[in-house]
Amino acid sequence: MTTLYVILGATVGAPSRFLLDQYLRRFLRYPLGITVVNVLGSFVIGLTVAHHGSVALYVKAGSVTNLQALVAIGFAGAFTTWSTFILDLYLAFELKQYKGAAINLVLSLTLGLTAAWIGLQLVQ
Amino acid sequence: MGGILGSLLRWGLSVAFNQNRAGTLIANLLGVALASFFLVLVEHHGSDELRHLLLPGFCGGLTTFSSVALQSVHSTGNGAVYLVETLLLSLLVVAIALPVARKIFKAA
Repeated sequence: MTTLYVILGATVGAPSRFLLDQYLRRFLRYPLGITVVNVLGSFVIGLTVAHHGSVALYVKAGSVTNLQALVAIGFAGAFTTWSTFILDLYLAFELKQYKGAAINLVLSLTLGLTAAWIGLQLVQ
Repeated sequence: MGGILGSLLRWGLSVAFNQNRAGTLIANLLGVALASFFLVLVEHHGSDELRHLLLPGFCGGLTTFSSVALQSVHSTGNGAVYLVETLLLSLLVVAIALPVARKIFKAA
């Protein structure tokens, strides 16, 4: 049953990331579409935690609530991406676009962590 | 389609390790390595469909940013260490995997 919720969340999350990134890339000078996606997703996952009060709780298969499987593991997990983030960084570095790489790194980490923290505070 | 399979593998890994941090780290490092190879692969012979299935699909679903952010701010300590560890190891993996993949596909 949990698996079904993960699938359902991912079915929405992955295409949403792709479409939002494609859309944002038209307006942004640097490829920061994924940055925006990652910040939004971090906020969403922060919102899902407080129900159990501990991150460690939802890793054990039995104790995942359906809502967490759907929203945290399925949706936010598939919506956000680490591989594109790292590849964007590395390729920008290779192309000597140091400024773009630095902006992406700093914005992603500061805003992403802040967003997750705000999400957490809101539900606690 | 790729996103669903990637997400299921990521979830399977965190259940297998019975620990979210290790599972997410393995999923992210594996995803980064695979993405490096797929990127070179589709550069050489790839259709758009294959590229979408493998890269934003499978690797995008397998890896996750939100869990890393969450575990960095909300954890019983050492969130910053986890973040730096994930970041540095990921960059190391790309720095190794991408040149290797380029060599392999150039030779082929």
